[in-house]
Amino acid sequence: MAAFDHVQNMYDVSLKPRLLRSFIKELIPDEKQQLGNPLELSQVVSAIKTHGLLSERVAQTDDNKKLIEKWKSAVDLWVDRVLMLVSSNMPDKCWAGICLLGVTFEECSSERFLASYSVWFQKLLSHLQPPAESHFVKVSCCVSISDLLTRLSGFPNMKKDGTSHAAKVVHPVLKLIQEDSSDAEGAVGLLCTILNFFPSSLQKNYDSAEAAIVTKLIYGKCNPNMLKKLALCLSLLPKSKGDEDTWSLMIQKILIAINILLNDSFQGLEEESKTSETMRALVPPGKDPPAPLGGLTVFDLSNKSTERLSITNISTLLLCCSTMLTTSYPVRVKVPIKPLLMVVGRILNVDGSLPQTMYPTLTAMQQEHICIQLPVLHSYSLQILCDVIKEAHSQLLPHTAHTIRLVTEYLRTCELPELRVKLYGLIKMMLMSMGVGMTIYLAEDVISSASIDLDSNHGGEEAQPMNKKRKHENAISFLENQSQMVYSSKNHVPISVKIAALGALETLLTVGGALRSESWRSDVDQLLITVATDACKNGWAKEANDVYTPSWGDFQLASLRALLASLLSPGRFRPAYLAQGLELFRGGMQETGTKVAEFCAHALLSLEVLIHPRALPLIDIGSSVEYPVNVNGMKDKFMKSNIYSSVVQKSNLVTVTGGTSRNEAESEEDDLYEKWVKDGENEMEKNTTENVVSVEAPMNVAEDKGKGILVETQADEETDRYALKNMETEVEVVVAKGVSGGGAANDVVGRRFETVGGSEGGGEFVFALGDNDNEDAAMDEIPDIVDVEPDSDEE
Amino acid sequence: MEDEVVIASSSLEAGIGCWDLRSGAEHLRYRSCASPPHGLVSVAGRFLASSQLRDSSSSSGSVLFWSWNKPQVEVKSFPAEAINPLACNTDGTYIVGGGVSGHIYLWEVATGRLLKKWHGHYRPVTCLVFSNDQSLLISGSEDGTVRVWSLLMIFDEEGQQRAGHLYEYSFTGHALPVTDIVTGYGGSNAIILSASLDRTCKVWSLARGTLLRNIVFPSIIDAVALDPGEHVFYAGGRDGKIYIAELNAQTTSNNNNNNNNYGLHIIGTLSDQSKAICSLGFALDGFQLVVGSEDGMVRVWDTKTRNIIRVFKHAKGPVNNIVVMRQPAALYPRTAGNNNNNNNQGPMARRHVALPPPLEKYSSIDEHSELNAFITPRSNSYDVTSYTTLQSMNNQINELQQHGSSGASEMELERLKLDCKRSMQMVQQWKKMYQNLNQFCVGELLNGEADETNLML
Repeated sequence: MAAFDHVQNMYDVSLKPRLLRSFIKELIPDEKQQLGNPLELSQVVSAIKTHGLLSERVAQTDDNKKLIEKWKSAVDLWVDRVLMLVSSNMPDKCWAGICLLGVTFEECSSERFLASYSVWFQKLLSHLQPPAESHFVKVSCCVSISDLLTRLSGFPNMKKDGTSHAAKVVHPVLKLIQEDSSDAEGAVGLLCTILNFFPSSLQKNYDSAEAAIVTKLIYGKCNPNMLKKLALCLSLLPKSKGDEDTWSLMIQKILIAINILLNDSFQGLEEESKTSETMRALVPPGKDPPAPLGGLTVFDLSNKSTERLSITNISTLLLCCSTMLTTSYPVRVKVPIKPLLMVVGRILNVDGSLPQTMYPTLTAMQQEHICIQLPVLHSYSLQILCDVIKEAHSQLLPHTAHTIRLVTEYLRTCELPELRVKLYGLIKMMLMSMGVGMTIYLAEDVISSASIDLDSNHGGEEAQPMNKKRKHENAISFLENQSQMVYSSKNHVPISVKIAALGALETLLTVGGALRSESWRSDVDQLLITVATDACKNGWAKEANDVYTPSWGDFQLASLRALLASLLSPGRFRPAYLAQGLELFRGGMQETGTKVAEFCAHALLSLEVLIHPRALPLIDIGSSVEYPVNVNGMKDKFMKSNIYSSVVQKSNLVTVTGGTSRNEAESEEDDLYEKWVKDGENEMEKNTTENVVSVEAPMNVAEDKGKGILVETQADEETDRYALKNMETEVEVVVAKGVSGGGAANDVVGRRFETVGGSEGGGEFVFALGDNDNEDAAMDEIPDIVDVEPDSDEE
Repeated sequence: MEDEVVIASSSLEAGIGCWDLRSGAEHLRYRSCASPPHGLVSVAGRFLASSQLRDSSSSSGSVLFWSWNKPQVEVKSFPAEAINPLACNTDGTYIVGGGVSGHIYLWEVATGRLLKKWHGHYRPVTCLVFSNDQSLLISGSEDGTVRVWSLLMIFDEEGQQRAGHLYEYSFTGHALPVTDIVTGYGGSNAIILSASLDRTCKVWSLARGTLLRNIVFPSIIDAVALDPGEHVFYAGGRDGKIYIAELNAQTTSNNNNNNNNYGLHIIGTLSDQSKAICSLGFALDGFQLVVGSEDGMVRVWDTKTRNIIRVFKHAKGPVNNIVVMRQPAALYPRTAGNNNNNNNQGPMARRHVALPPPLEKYSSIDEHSELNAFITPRSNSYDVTSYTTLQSMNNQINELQQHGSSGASEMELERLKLDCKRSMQMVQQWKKMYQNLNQFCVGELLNGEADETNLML
């Protein structure tokens, strides 16, 4: 190769074969060389992946012919070298070859893969049958075959070939799993791949596969990662038969095994009746129980293991249950909800205490063992509940009451932070999936327990700002405060629990803040504003880099989220803490670049609608065609003048000079406009002079009639109401009843607001109110615009 | 834009008509259906279900199922009494029916089992609607009441005993039978809109359980439809007019010129001098209002321009049910014009969907019966196939590196040395003990012999 044969840049295709060749020459050992530093291998692989050195992707043009040839020969060389390594006697070289071959499966072109995958497969298989000596070789062999099958599954017409190839590895893989060694890791992964892509290849070995996996699960002493993989394997196993019954049978077997183990472990901790009851739900009377899971008898399951081990096995089997529920299955399957709930209920009921009615049958040591393991069991049980709710969705309805009782009871007793976090998450999910109906049930319990969790916010190390107050406060009272705080910090609740509690409250308000909420709404609103203010009063926390442990910043965000829900959730009055809330959000928005800022911007946008309620017309008013259309063009003008005039009217009245709108209106010279303006002035005169309810302005009455926001009227409302009465109601609805004195003026303000609000988005209303307030001395408070008094027209 | 279909049925036996809303082409006509008002539902887009009008002589009712691609009735069920309205939740897991005796029936679709039956009203049930979040059921009856049921409560016997009554709300504002009910958006703060033979429509608040507004119409209202923005609602009258009544609307000029004689809150009408309006439905875009009329025609109004934009001819009898929905995948379009559309849906369109078993007449549920949920398969198309070699290789390289590092091996060596030392000590100890034991035994033996000889002597 010429020394000055430069490539264009790093994207130049002709670079790729050259790079590949030089890699092969320098870094991949041949027959005689030793394998260098394994780190070099990973460099080669990463270069191959970034530059696509094996992809052979070139446009098929005449110019490229030479290049294609070049690249092809380079890749050929690569494959030859790698295969040579695979069949090497040295275990390290062999291992390197297998790994590089695995990368080749992923990276090479489809044509090359299809042409030679079965040769490659045979090469790899020779290391599994009989199994190679080296641990590394075995594991990487499994992984490589798994990648080969993954790639093969991408070709829809290769299903049959894939299945026959996969069937060949099943035996050696099961053997690897059965052998008590760490080789199983790769083997389990391979088994999962086979079950995912070519499940039917396992059909004949179903029972032996089940036995191998279960034995490994129960006796294998595996690490958590491995347990998860095995559980996934077991839950995928029914796919190999692919029918509904296999799946149902599997979950039934698992549940029975759990139940048997529970009988053993919970002896003396629960009443005997529970045991048989759950069993009856699992195996209906008169039916034969299925063959035991993995061929392990009751004796095998319980007696071979010590107490500690048997509880670990329960959690493993619970994990299997949860994985079975969440992994997708090709056909519709029946989930035995009731037995699942009963098993979960059984576990959640046991908290390690001895029932008082019973004579203690277990030793203190046994109790200790169980207490160590119980939180894990509870955590898995809650996970199963989550999965059931997620998967069954509305079908859970017949069981919902049962679920709710389980959850509320557990909420009252559960104390461990980790479990409470999980429980709040579960409650959130229940509220979301079952909507308003669920809030009626859960509100009370959720609020009381969330309040307790959030209340300790006043104590503990978070209470720093006391220092500032010290100057203004009596020193003694400060000391008292402090002592109280030290006391209250005793029930310190971790931030993670508080965040979860806030999340639950947020969901509660989101889903059902309006229905039957009179009793708790104001308390919750107050709680949330207090929590949010306390969380944010010391400035904004820096965002944590750690994703797993929640930080103070996360707590601030959670408190703001809950606050927004409390402000937005529908209620009867204007949210009491709107101003404080807005202040917090405005402050948060300054923290550019943080999640808090992002959220605060969103919050302010959402609240804008609350402040300027919109009832947008269906169509652009300017182009609207009204019923009935009589006069050409006349209508359009009329509409416009109507809207503008109303704006002008308002500006006349309260002297918020909407200059532009007035000018526009004036440009629309028209009798009607004059009339409208005059009308407004007239009315104002009347209002200010006579100070009585004006009913003489027929145009205005008509205009106000039936306007706007839907509000409550009497249930016994007469159907033939007069315009006057109607007007009163409407006006009263908008202007607070409590405003005394300036009755007529208020009337006008109220009506103006509606007009403007309807047509212009209500933008000016705030000013209108304020200005009017300044001008009209008779009005001693700003009317509460949202407070609706339905009985007002009875006075 | 997705294709929508309009489905309509009539009280006369004219079958169920099915049209493409955009093109106007008629799809299959499903045979032998004579439905009462609100008796036609699409069960989660999987199949069509309709209750049937029966002559009064037969004691049982009838509910029929059609699959999308066959005109014949596929499943026939015969509930204990005649069922008028049918409703179905969006998941398609439950079908609810209202009987002439005032009972409400709840069936599980997958198994056809009658899960619950309760006494809802004193007179025949006329309409049934699920709330937006599917947790509440709203029923209207000939006795003039509108009741709100929480489905959770229906299934919770303990809760019922505490509450004393089954319903959440019972609205008793209407003097005559309720003809139609719709609910709006807003979850717990939604509104419920009911129409009645007493010529009124009433707006109820779900959050507070009170009447918000009462609108008196010049004619009996048989059907209502809610504008998606809840700006106005449309009420179809027996006089052939569709009245537009305001909810949140801004009043327009109508009220100023005295043209509007319809009444309070009514801001206009859509009218083409046709016969009584029997049913209304909104298209997904929220602008096209589909109207079923007594003269057997289905008209599509554009509510923006207030013009009729399409007319479908259904039958001679009144069109008392209108359903507008996304075109179900299983519906096989017959017309050549829809060919491209056909290709899009591929094999899915032709796959026959098995219908569930018929609905039970009497409940077979007892304490022992299993109530299972079903998990339906999800498509795996979003799963990303993952290759694992690279990760495993890097792990192993890591492992190699760690073992190869001098620090680690040094530590290991130290440990082994210590182990070895300890073992050596143990060996020494054992050796010593063995020697002691040996000596002791030998001593004992010798002594014993000596004793014996002494005794002998």
